[in-house]
Amino acid sequence: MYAACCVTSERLEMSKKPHADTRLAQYVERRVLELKPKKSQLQIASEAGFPNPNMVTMIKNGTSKLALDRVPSMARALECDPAYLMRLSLEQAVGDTAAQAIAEIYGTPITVNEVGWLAEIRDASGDTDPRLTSRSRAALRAIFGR
Amino acid sequence: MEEAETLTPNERAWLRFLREVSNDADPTPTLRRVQLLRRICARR
Repeated sequence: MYAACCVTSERLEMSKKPHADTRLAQYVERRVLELKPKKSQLQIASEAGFPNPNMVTMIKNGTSKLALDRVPSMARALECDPAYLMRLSLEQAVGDTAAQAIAEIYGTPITVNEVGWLAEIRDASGDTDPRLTSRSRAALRAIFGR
Repeated sequence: MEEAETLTPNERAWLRFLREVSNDADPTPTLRRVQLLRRICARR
């Protein structure tokens, strides 16, 4: 009985916050927290051009999705990489599998950080277009502690 | 912003693996990480 109750309340919560488990909701929550000393959630909503000041809260807690056309202004308001936010937003809009299919055909947006990594790889290898060998994989894993 | 189609297949492989090992968290190429990366490339 108790278990059934828990499942029901969990389902109810999911229907109220259908996007709570998405990476975008978690990322927006993190950025809002990181920007807290600098600007409020209301300021972020206004800078992103949302007429509803509660929109950032709704995106953060997963009640609402971030519309794809809002990604550029939201990225500016959150002071984050627009390509990265677009990637997360696309994933939220169409789901993991569809986002991967889109990326496979059209390519994924490359972030400023990724451009930085590529520049370093080119520079460090003398622009020899190095292959990703199993040794370089192992070394990259070590850099990220995985 | 760099376009995905201007990348070589090798560079795409590096990017894909970078996303995989960093949990797609868009990691910053910090000085420490870049130094380690350079060490990988230098050992070739």
